[in-house]
Amino acid sequence: MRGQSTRSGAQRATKPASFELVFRAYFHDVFRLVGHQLGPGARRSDVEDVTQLVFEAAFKAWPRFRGDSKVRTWLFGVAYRVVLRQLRSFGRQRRLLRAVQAAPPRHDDERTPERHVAAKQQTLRVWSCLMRIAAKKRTVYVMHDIEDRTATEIAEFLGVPRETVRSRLRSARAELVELLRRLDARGMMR
Amino acid sequence: MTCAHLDDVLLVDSHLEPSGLVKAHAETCPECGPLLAELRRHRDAARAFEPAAPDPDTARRIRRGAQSSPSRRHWVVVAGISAAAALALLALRPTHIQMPQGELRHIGDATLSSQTPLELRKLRPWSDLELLKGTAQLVVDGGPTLLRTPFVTLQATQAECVITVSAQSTAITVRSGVVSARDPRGLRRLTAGGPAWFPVPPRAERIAQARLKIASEPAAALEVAQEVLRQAPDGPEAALALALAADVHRRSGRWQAAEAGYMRLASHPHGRAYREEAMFRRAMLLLKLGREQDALRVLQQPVPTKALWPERLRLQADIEQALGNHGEARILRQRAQRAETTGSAP
Repeated sequence: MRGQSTRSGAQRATKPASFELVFRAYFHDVFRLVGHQLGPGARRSDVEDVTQLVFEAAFKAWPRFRGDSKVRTWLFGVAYRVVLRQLRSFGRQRRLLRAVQAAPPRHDDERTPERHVAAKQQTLRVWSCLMRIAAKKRTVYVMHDIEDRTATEIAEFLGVPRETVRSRLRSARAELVELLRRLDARGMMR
Repeated sequence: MTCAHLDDVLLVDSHLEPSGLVKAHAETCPECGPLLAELRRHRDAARAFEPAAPDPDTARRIRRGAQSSPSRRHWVVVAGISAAAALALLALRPTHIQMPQGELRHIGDATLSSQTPLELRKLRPWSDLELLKGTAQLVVDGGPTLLRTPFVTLQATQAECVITVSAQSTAITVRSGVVSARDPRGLRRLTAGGPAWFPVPPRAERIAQARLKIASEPAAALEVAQEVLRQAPDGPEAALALALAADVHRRSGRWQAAEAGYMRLASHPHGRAYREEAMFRRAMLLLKLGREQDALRVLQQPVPTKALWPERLRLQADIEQALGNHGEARILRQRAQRAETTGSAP
């Protein structure tokens, strides 16, 4: 699930000549990362706004980046912190959750098999529960289980100890299971 | 879920393929096996969501925006600081009573959650604070400080106390020093000990009861509000009564009466805590009454709190749009969106 441009020249542990190179190398990866973190409830304009905020923050911090770590690690670290800050905004969080809950499974084709529609419904159900989990735990869940990143990598991006990542992952998974079980139980009672 | 190995299952890697002991355990445990299967199912479902890819225009726009906005913001900050400095100079004119205000002059629901004790140690002398709801820890070491709750005013010079304001009462626990507390019943001096309770006065309680009936018995609710206003037009309960009366009028479709009520509430001596909402509602009503320019003027007036900042910007944008000022409306919407995103107000 990781981006395709991770092997570009900008990944070396030396500072690239210009921010422009970094932008070109990682724009798609950051856009995708933001899209994943905001979930299916996000509008395209949300993803664009937050991606812009990420690059604004990175551009501002660029003169201070000394090339001690890989550019990718540095940039993704900036991105996750910006996304987390945005997700903590109560208004945005509430809107994303409402949007996922309201989103009907899209019927791309009239002849779409029922199984396909059911799978989409399941995806929306899982995401609607994911959006209920605290942003800092959900971020870790999405990075780990959906974007396939390791706990060490996540710890590096977020600047927190690896044990913190593991504990957030554990609670996020437990909460997700619990929320979905409750949702299933309510569905059965109706 | 009671199995001792649940934690191990909840911490398996992202492929959710445990190995060794955890795998052997999950194959036989009636809790961990299904849990692992559930985790895999949820992960697969979540992964089925594929975020949209950007188009070339988006990349260009974001690159331009990202590289230009810091300097633009710099000017916004400079302009903001200049405006603040000008306001500070105005406020400190010699004719004005010298009463420096702490940074946390107004503490409303929007800035203080009930779970977060707030330490007010770094306040200048003569700070005048307001706590409408929630808990604050007040540590005053040097200089009299006032803290107002809806029905109690505290004054302390050298003291440490915790104040909790709820719908039923204000509770004050003094940890050290002496605190003077005044409510409608009189003045009390509080020293270290268990919490002292200041129940909400009966009139305020009657208003709270009437508010519960605002939908089912609007006439009765209005009568209570009017009675309180007759008995104590300048007391703290009058602000509550004005808010209740204006709400009843608004909900009954008597917009002019409601608009006049919110105007009175906004200018009432005890209406400061409700001023922003009152003015916002007033602007909405003026808009309904076809008085767009008046609504704009009300929205542009300064208010003590900024809890409704994005909503006010959006309403302003709607009015500008209706007046044909599309450019101004667009700018206001962008500001509102930014305020919602960042949770910040100027």
